[in-house]
Amino acid sequence: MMSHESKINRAIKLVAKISIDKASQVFSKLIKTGARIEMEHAFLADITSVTEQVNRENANVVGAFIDLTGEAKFKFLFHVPIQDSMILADLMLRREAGTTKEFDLYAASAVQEIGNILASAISGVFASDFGIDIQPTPPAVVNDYVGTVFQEFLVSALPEQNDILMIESCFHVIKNDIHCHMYLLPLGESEKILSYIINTT
Amino acid sequence: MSKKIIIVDDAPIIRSMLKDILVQAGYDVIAECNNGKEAVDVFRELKPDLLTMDIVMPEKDGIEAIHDILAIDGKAKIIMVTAVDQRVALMKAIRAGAVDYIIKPFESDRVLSAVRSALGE
Amino acid sequence: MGFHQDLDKIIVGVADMKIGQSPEVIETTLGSCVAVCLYAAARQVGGMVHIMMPHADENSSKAQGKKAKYANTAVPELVRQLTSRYGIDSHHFVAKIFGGGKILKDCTLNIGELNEKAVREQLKNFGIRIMASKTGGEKGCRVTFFLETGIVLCQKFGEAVEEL
Repeated sequence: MMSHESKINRAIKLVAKISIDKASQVFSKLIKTGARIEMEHAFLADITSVTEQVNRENANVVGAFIDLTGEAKFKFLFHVPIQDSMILADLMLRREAGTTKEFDLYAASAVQEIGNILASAISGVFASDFGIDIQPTPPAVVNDYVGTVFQEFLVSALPEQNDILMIESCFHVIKNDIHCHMYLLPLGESEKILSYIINTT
Repeated sequence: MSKKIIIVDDAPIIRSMLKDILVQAGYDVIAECNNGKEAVDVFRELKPDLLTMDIVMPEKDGIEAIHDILAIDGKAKIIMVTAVDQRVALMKAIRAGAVDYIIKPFESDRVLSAVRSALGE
Repeated sequence: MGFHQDLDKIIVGVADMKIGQSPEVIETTLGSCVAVCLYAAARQVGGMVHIMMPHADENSSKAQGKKAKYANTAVPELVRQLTSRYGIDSHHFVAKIFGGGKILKDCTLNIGELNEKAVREQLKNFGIRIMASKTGGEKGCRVTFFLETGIVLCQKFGEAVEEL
């Protein structure tokens, strides 16, 4: 007999797998080049140890923060190193990678819109696969240290919790060697939604 | 004379992508708007032949903007260009009066076929 | 997550604290959180705490579980750990504080400002002088605390490194 906790884990893993698969398809289509899922996992993260790991990294990133609201609530973050955001802008604008030499409005907007499209794709998965209506809000874009971006994401999501259920994935844009990170955090009463998912699939 | 189009989206990169497609096909992009509120104000002033409209935008979303624009001119032609590929949201847009919708990420063929169809070309 | 082990620096995450002595180096990255660095120059010992929220009920389980998270439990705990490990009275320490920015502009609550205010109150309660501070703004900062000298290098995102 499966425990309640392992049912939730199964639901999270299912949500992770389907969402990330869909997101990577949409991402590849958007930038017109192959993007492979390099890592995908769902886990319970202690806020201290997970932010300590990220604080070790020296990257400067652009991040798109999105709230998914409706019948379930999630926080979503997509972030990419600043240099790579310029290449993503070039790919989206069908220009040769390397055309954009400085971080500009279009590079920030590229991350904003990729985040929007990925979050929308994930909300589409909830609607079509689980019959759950969720909608994305307009993205907030932040350009900062990766440690800053990541901790603001956690702090804004679940400030009272010390252990956070997290879905994490990394896409590798093979041709341009770009690594993009995507995170999804279930909030509030999402446990009920996850129970519903596992009981009906 | 080239048909006049207004592009409405809060992402500059999407506005740029759409503008490139439309201008290359011979259309005249007469304005770009960042949100639904701006779109309504600019529509009132410039009376374009067609608008492309995102749904999720700050200040005023695309659905509200469609209502307001059609209240100004019931014959306004609006195509939704949106990342939200969901029946519920798209039905809302069509019921609000959008003539068609395009899902992001989009191909130029799809954009042009929707625009030509909306303009009766 | 792709982290790289840095043997030369002790890295502090959110809601955490680290204490040590010369020649150790303690580092963290901040947004709306506030870092408090305490230093006793005569013994070249000190500590850093990365505070996320201004206040918790001290007897609550959440405060007990992660004292470093809340200003009203973090500062007393940092002082306690330093005084009990090194046998130094709290009045021998000086403080430097960092962070407390407003990174997400659309957030109605300015948690960074509240964190800074709470930290200043706590330090005042202990009679610990704040020697330097670099707080507020809309960008994150990286803070590197050298226990050999008590110097803190603070680099706000997009700006030059400042020595405080």
